Amino acid sequence: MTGLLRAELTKARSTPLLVWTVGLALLLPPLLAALLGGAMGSRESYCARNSCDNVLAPPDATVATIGVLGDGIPGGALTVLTAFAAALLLVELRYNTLSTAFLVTSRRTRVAVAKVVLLVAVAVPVVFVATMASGVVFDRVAGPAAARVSPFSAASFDVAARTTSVVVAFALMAFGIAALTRHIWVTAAVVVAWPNFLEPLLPMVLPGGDDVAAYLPFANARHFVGIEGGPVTWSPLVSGAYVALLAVVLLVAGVARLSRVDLPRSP
Amino acid sequence: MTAPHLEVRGLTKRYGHRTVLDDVSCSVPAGTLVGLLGPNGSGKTTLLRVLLGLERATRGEALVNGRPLARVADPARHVGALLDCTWFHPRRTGRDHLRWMSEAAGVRRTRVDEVLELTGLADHGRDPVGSYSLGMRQRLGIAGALLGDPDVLVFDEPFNGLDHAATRWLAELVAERVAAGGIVVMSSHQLAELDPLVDRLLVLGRGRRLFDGPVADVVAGLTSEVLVHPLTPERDHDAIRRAAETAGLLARPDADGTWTFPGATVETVSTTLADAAVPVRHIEQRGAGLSDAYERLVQGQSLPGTPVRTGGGTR
Repeated sequence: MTGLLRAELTKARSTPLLVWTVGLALLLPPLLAALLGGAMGSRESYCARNSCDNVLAPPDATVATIGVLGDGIPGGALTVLTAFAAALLLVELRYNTLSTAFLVTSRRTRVAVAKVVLLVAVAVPVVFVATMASGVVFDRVAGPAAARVSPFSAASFDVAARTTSVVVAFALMAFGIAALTRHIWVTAAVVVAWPNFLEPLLPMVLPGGDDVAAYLPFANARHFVGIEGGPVTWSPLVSGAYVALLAVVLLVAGVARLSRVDLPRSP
Repeated sequence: MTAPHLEVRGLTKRYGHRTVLDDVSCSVPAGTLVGLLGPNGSGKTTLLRVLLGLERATRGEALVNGRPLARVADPARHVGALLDCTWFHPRRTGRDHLRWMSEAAGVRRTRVDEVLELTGLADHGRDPVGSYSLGMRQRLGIAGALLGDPDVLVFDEPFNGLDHAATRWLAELVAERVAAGGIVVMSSHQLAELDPLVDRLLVLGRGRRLFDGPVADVVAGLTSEVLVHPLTPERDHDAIRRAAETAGLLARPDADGTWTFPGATVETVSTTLADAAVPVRHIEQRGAGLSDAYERLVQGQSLPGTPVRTGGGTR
């Protein structure tokens, strides 16, 4: 297993994919937090001078997730890491690297597990650092609007940890979907369309919208992190467990397909 | 260490209702270089993929040293394969490609430099594969196959893109492997390159085994022919035709003025033409080669004295 892990690391380091993933996932969230913080700080300063009618309550520590998870639709780190998760598999299918791997090792499940370990090893520190950095940037940029944000408080660490686990869960889902579909456009359609279009629309178009929304993965993920606004009725921990369960089901199904169903000859 | 051995037993592979391999069986002992031949779509690549554990058989089995390769913990030490010279990430260097393969296969890292040196790629190891020529990619694929120093090598179209020197190097490499008791399976459409190398043929047609046996068995069953270059082809055309008819020889004029006498000997033809006072610039006996044998096999013609069975069961 150690050899397979080293092989995955060598593969990841020897193409630009890993550098781009880490770079974008680390830069985008603080950038979005800076933009949001700047806008909120300006409004706070304006209202202090002009006594606005609709004064906004200052955000809490979950504001640090805006560039990571997004608000309603996925943020930068989530998008980048789900794309990375799918690419870990689909790029290898594209260039038959996976077939080459199966020529030198017959343990297909272990090859998939090694990729998952690499994915988690990349996603955990990157998302945690990006979330904490977003909190720091917001605190520095937003001025009085950051009154309730204390970047290094226990609450901020808790939000960063929950955000990290949610992003890892969605990255594992993306890996599972890529392994199940083995097709770049089908995977992209699911990974991009689901959170951006389908999940926001489903509660509106289906009868009993709120009941449906309670089972949607992103609604539960936001509830677990502490971002309010959804119709979810479970406790945050149950919502987190629900998202984790979805991730495990998709991942296990994907790895099983990868291990048991022959790879296409011409992907 | 036991001698390597390949065995295919009643192998059938279907994709839906389409049968790509139909009850194919063969056995390859140690020290053999097998030419796997057949027209496009005859099932050669499918046979290799099943043998290498990349695809599962619908029925039957393919064994390497007595076991399916998919159940061998360290397949790279048993079989090295080059199936397609496009199986590389273009941004990855040749050295990194071999490095991850060696790590996944559990092969010592110094072996990477050894196979780069062996395949003549040592100076290009740090270049991205996207900058490689077709021949360099072939050599990188061969380097990957050699990583585990296996007893069995499987090459699909290995001569594509190789220049003369590289072709000769590959021929020497596989000859050395076979002389050392290894097994080499080569699938190729370049029969001229295969001809001097292979000592055993496995010919497939429409998923069925058309022939399995020593090359000598196929070639021995084919008649040779005599090729004649007349000094004045146009003037002597009728004279040659009449002389052949008189002597009871088959004669076929070719577009370039030469004449072919199938099944004849140089002595008979030269005597016949001398009697007819036909001046000859050059005369030669041409033996049947792998190409002739292959063409007849895939046309479904049975060859006298060879164990060819076309159609029906292939065991």
